[in-house]
Amino acid sequence: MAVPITELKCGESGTLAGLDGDSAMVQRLLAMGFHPGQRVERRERAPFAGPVKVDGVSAVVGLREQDAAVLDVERHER
Amino acid sequence: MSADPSAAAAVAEGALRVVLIGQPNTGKTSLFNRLTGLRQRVGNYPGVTVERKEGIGRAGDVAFTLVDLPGTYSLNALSMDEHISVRALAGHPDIGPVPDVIVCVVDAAKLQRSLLPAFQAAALGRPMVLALNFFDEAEALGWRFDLPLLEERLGIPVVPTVGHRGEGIGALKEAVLRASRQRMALTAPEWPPAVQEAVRMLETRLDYIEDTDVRRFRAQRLLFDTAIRAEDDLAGSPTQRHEAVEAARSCVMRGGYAPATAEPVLLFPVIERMLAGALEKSGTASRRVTEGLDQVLLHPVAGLLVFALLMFGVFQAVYSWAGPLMEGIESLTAALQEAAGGVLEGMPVVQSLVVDGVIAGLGGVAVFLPQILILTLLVALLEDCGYLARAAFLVDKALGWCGLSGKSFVPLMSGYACAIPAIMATRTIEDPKARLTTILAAPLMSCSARLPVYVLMIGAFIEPRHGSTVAALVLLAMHLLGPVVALPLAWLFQKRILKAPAPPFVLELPPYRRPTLRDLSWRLWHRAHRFLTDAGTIILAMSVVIWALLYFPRPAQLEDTLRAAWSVPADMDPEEAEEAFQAHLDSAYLEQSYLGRAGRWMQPVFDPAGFDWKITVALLASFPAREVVISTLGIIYQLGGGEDEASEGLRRRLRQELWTEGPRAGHPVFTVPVAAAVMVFFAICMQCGATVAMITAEASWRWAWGAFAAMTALAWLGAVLTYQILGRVAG
Repeated sequence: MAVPITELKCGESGTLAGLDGDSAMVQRLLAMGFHPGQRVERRERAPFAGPVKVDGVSAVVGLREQDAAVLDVERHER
Repeated sequence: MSADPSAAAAVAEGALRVVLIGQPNTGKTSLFNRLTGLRQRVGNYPGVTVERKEGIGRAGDVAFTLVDLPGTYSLNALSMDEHISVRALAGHPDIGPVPDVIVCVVDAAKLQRSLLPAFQAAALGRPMVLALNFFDEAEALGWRFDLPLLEERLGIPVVPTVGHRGEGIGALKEAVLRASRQRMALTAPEWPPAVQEAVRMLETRLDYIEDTDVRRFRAQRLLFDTAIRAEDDLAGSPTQRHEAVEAARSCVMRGGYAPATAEPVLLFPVIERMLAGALEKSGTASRRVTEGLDQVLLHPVAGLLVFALLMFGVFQAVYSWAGPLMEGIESLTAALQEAAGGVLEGMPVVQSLVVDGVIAGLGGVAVFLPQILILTLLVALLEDCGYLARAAFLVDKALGWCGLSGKSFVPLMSGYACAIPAIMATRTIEDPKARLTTILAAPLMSCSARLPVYVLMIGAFIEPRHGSTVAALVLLAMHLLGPVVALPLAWLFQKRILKAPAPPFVLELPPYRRPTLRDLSWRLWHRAHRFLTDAGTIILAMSVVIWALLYFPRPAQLEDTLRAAWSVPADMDPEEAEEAFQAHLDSAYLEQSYLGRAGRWMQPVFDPAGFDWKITVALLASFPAREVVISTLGIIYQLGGGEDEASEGLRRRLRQELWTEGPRAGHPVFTVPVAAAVMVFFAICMQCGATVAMITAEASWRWAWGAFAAMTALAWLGAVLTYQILGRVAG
């Protein structure tokens, strides 16, 4: 079952199942190479509930929580 | 499409127009610097805070104009700067003709995604070159490129480069000429029938464009760019245009694609196919250094600690290291003034113009250079090594609520030292709206030039009466006033004035890299050059105008009248007496100068803040630089212009000053509420000609004077509220 990447813990990875909608954020993430089927990893979170670092195949980005949530992933079993 | 001979002619005349496109963080700027050297013109595109960079490059005996377009993740423009790149490619009249050659810069280690803009620009049919930048990093990851195969498939020259080390520059120049001469264009991708049909529908509305390639490019942009309204380009009435775009987009949707995302969704498989077999990723990609560093530098505790230390270091450097250099420039200015004053003795008007207008103005420009150079160097170091993005990541939460991002932190913090380098440091913010907001917010931070005013007022009125603890707290409060006023204003400004939606905030965290000396020195040179030529000239001009307003009119009989009425106290030696007379005379001249008259005339405006006409004159005279208020007060109080904030004479004089007229006659002018009102006024106002000049250079004169007016009004309001409230509480 696909969940928003924000549900993953730091260091957990998954396969990108889809991007939610066609908002500007989704357009930007597609242009940065976040496409379904790729591996993504949730990394560190900035203090005070700040942005989340997401490690993708072709980009390492910091995303605010509500923005990161457009990335739906199938969690990889550990 | 133009035929070969015209392209050849363009080459021969040296009018070959080459543009650099590419995604952000692909090292485009380093390549631009290497290709053009110091032959650059940097400015802004009309009406926006988007940097326009053009330069002249030379390949063999051929000269070409090179334009560095703003970085774009996709030509599907989501922000102002991306839209400018699109318009530049399409040959918009405000920006320039359609380029002859497009150089697409890609990050070799992120090849798939950074090829997107190249494939979007393919519709233009213009000669193109692909620069595989950071080629060394891709090789270090264990990637192997089959360059001949890649060239064959794409049909354009592919050049490996390492921009910041200058590798591959010669080959890149050669490739530009080759692509231009042989008209090597990237083959435009084949769209599914629904998209082809939609593009055709829009092309018929653009048939006034003769170049069929440009027409197709524009039609595609109209179809896919759902965030930008560019329908005005179409023929027909507004309703017809809107309907045409809507009809074309429905056609795409019937084909099963969302217009906003159809391009990347359709192009990525095309790009993957192109790369299959030409790029071999052997071994596990090792980003271990970057990941390890991030575990520490993004850590909630360790990361914040490093951040705090680094920021403290940057602030100390700008605040303290620049000090001795600035003092050096000031004493040099003083020495020049003295020398020029001696030479021009006997020509009082010229002497004063040169000494107090021109040399003082030049000194006033040069004095900013140490801070600019130090801050530019440190920010460039942090940016080039990759830390600046991490710093923005850590503090994004603190600024995100008011529409800014973590990227505004360093400029705003630098504003506490000086607004001038702070405004320059906003160049690291890509989003033009966020950049403009930060430029306008930075001058509200309490810069070091405000400190003398606080020291004078606190030292004279608050410390003696309320002790040093209260004095320290008041000083702290004055420094907190900046963000307390600026951040809600930034929020309001983003929400109410700049209504266009903010582009999505994605903070790219590039791998850590070693900065190169050459890139750093280039940046220092360009910033200093830009400051001196753009802001510097405005500062100098303002300095001369203010001088004239303080000097004229200057009736010679005033001196005679005053001397006749002047009685030398018996116990004074002649030299001292002459000095006292000169101070008296200076004060009288200032009082009847144009600016002095304006101050008297404007005093009623400042009356609700408790200011008398002398404070008002000092306030007007301090327009070029707020610290001037202290020497002006010195002149008005007949102590001479050499007074500083620690001078006991000036403090005593302030305490003795009484109202001579009006309802408060006989009462002291300076009370605690008045002193506090003066501090609040200076904390909020933009009494700084250099800042006005800087905002003019970086944004526009409209923003500069608008900000000046708004901050002055706000400062007045703050001063009136302070005086009235404290007056009630204390009285």
